[in-house]
Amino acid sequence: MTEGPLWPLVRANLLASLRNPMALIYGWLFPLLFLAGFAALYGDDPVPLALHAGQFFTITILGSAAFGLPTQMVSERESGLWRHYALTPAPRWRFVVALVLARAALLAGALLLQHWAARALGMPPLPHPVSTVLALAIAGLCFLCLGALIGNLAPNVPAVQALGQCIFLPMLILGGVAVPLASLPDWALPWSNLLPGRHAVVAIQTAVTGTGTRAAGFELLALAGHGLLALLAAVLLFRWEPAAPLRPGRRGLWLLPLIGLWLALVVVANVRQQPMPAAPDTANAGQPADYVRPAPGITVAAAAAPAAAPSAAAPAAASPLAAPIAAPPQPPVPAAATDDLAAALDGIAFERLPPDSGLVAPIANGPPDAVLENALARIQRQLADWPPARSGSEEQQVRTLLLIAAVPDLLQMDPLERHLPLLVEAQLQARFAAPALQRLLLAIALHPDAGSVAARADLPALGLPAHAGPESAVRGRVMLYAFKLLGRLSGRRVGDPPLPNDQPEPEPAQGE
Amino acid sequence: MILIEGLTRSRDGRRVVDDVSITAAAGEIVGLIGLNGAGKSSLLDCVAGLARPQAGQISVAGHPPGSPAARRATGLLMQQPGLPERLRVAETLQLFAVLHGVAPCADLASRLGLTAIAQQQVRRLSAGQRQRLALALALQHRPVVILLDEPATALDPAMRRDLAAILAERRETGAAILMATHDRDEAASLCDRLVLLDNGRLVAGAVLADLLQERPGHD
Repeated sequence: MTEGPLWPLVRANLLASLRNPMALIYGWLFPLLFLAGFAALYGDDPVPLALHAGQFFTITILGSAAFGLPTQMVSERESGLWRHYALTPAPRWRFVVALVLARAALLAGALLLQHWAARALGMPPLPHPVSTVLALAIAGLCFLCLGALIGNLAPNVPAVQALGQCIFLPMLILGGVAVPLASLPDWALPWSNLLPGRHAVVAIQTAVTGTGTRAAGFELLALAGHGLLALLAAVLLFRWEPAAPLRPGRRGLWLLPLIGLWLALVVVANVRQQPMPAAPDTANAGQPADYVRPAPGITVAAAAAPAAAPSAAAPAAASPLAAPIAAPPQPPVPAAATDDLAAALDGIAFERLPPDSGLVAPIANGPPDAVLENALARIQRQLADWPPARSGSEEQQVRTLLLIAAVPDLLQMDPLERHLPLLVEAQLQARFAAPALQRLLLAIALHPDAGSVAARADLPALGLPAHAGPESAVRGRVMLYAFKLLGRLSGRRVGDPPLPNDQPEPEPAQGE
Repeated sequence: MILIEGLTRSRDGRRVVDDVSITAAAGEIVGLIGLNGAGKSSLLDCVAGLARPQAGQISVAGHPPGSPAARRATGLLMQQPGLPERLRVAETLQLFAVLHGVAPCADLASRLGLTAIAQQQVRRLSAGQRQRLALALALQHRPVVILLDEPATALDPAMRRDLAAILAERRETGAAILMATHDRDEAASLCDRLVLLDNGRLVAGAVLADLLQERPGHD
């Protein structure tokens, strides 16, 4: 007799929300305002908004879950509607689940709008749309179940605001949602696992700028765990009437194992070494002159005055990466005498390049794990049929291939970004003879503003994010990788140079 | 059909229903009369399974109150029914019909004057229209146990007559009806038997004629 009332209930909840202007303003307009805030704050990023997608999508989900759903639930309960529902033979879980699903549909609309707006503001297309949808769906359902729990705990609408803030604010500050986890002190990190905000940010960010959700498998499982436990608790604590005391009776005994499972989940998350979303990479790659020393084999006018020239206080190996990426471009470096390759290589200060183990232009020094190996194999297969890699002059082809390393570096696609330069290196070696390749890399390194980097928009065909920010950022990373691969192929720089005693590893001053 | 035995319900330390025993057989309309605060609504809540009594036994069509079978068998018109304010009348009837596992009853909606306002959102209805909608929701799944709390509230005389006719029909089909009201005229016109509640206690239980005879001053 009662089969099938779930979807009519979902529909009824959805219609009620869609006909409520305030619900739409809070549910759909506010996320766009948040996005505008992020765009204003991080408009100078080399890749607009993409590196903050985990944060702004999670804030949207959190707002809908911590306030939207429980407010609707409690206000309907206060109006007596749920008491009316209680007269029907439909089981209570259907009302909770229907409310969650209806809110999920509204939330999907909000996320879609936010994504479109982010694209309009310059965010590149999603490289892993399926993974992104999966991460958003799991995170959304998890938080909505948490919202259903708030709705059952709160006796009235003002209490929803108070309880919602108790969930919302800690997750914003300690959960990595608003304040990046990398900025938190060590003592605060374990607390970030108490609530699922951290997992949501990591899972979504990994899907948007990382290697897809497979790399964030634990985060998705943790989100599902938090959501399931919250939903079960919501059903156990369910009450039809606002005046009903929060005494679940014998059913309340089931809360104890739920709390135990939640604590176990928190402990497992703490014990496990969790990935942290990378801080946005806004460092300037510098100019070719920064990496060239005056030498007989190469004529570089700006070499005598690098952007962050090593001084008495700075070691010779110090990276010139210091200025923000939006710095105006320097005049082009004069052409090198590439006919004398060895002399030209002698003139390059490879030791000034950023370390391979750093965050700017990194290169892996170990084999990839199984997940990465699959991703790399897939990229390599797709690369065989990628037209941009075979169009234009040889120099243009090399420049285009270097984009495969440069763009993921800008997007902080760790750990994939560290392995892609090796894939590019292998591809280059397979296609070009060694001396010619070194000349091509040298030309690209010394002339980063030459040629085209239009293929950065075609990277999604390889399962990588496109780059939609200023060209100068990506040209800078192409230059760095050209220098680095040149050093590796010529045998003049293999891995990071040893650091002087007591000398801290140089790191860029900004955004790293 | 409805069996209430020694029912006691307390709220905030006060007995709002105190050791009340009532029965309503199939095909019988029993009127619960009493002043405001007499315990009528609390008693109906207990029968509908919305409130848990501290003592006593209730059987609704042979089922414990609040069980799925009892809820399927029961239709309750609450005094101030909560309604889905942003749904339309037709959508509300459809939703509650589905929740009860039945199809909406177009004939009942028509008799209660809901057809003309089927596309109006509930929040735009007048008090009388809301009451008619609530009546339809209580009756459209053809419950065998009907609980009515002040059913004639906000209804105009014509609609009161229609309601009386509908209830009489339901009685003919074997429904047991327990109707709370403080309007003795209404009770006299509809009920087979009246029960008087005062401060939660049963004061009188007799056939209508007996009760009316015992209450001098009644017209």
